[in-house]
Amino acid sequence: MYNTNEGDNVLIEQVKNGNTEAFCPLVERYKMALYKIIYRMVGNRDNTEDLVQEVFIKAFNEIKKFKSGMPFYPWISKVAVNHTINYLKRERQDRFMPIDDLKEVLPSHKDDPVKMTREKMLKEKIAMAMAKLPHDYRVIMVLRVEEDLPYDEISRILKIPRGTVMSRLARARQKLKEIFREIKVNDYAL
Amino acid sequence: MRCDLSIELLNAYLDNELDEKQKLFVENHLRECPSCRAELEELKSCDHILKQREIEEPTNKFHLGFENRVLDKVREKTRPAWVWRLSPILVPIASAALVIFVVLTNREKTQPMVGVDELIPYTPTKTARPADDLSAAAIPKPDREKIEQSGRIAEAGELKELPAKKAEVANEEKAPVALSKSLPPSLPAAGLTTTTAPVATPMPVVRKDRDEELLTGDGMARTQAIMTELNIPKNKVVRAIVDSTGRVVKVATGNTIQPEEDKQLEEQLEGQQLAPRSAAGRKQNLMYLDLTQQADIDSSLPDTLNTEK
Repeated sequence: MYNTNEGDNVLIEQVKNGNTEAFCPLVERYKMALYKIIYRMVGNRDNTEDLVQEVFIKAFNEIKKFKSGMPFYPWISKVAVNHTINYLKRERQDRFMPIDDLKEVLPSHKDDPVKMTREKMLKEKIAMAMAKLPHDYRVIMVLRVEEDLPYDEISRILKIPRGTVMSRLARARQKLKEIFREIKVNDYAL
Repeated sequence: MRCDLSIELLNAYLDNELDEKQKLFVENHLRECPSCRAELEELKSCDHILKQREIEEPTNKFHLGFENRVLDKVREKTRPAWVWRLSPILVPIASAALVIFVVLTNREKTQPMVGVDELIPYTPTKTARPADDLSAAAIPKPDREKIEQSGRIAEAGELKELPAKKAEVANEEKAPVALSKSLPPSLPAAGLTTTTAPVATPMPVVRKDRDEELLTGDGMARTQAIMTELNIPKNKVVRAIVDSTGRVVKVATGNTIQPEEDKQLEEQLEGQQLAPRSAAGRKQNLMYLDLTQQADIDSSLPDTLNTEK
């Protein structure tokens, strides 16, 4: 799944030796990947961009903890996930939000039904459903379904036993299924 | 209604996280259980829908210059965390240290401490005029130039090697008279005679240009008379602190870095103008005047001066 990028390790060694500039290519290389994973958990562009920046700063400060020779992306994505979870806890993003409230928050094309395609409506519904999902369920769904990470990897990132990954993932899927049903996502499914 | 197959197992089967034995067990069950098959299809559909989620494009700001902004932040934060934590303590300490430094620096300028830089060359006296003669005429030109270049009393020893100069100086007898006129009336006549010794005080050679700046021998003569009256040994180091007007504000004895105050001598000399105003063009508020008599110099002077005693 992850390839060890030899270039990454050379750059990381330079950063460890005090060459701050060597961190620049690493940021450029992984910023979009981190943007995607964080956006899926946060669902907001501005907050995601800020969080990506914070994750890179945190990674720089903790670069000495990175074991040379290992692939860099799993390490920094772990930093990103944990940083985002802390953010979600802090911002109480997991608070229950009624569907009607979500409709006001999320972009709506009700005023222009002609342009409102079925696909766009579906994506809007999915975003609404994910926003309604409690943050720990949301995180594990992102890691497993959208990031396609194996259970063991999720277990390491979230620092929970494999059995907990299995049970939490099962509950998350059940919850999401209920929300989909509630907001009638299947009516727009392709 | 679903059967009793664990929902976790069904999810793990969907995620292909089961070993062969568990996988075979679930597949056998699914063949016989339509409810679990339906549940599995729902879960698959759920994942399928979720994978269609759209990700909003990042802003242009994220694409352009993001790396440099991260590096800027990183450089900002390279300052050790303990500095931030201790800053509430360090800032007052640094401020206090600065204040103390400023106070001490200013104090140093005005503190009456003995220092070579502040030492004023002793004023020539009228009784020392023979020295002028020495420098001007009696000393051979090469020697005179040598002395004038140095301009210091330290070279006075060279005078010993100039017998001709001694003879010239010996003829000068006006000095005691001049001193006697300048002494305060309170001083006894006997004191007048004793003041002849400082005639040879160590500044016989003074450059002409400076000569006019400095006071004439009145102040020095008074000083020497008082010192003699108080039986202050000739070799005892005596220094006076004078203000910018040249008046004595303090007198101390001893050659240590912090000499002892001499109240008795100070009472006699306090307020007397022994040095010129702004001596040597210096701007210091306080300066030092070395009043020490040097016996070895005295002995090198003409006997006639000493015999005035």
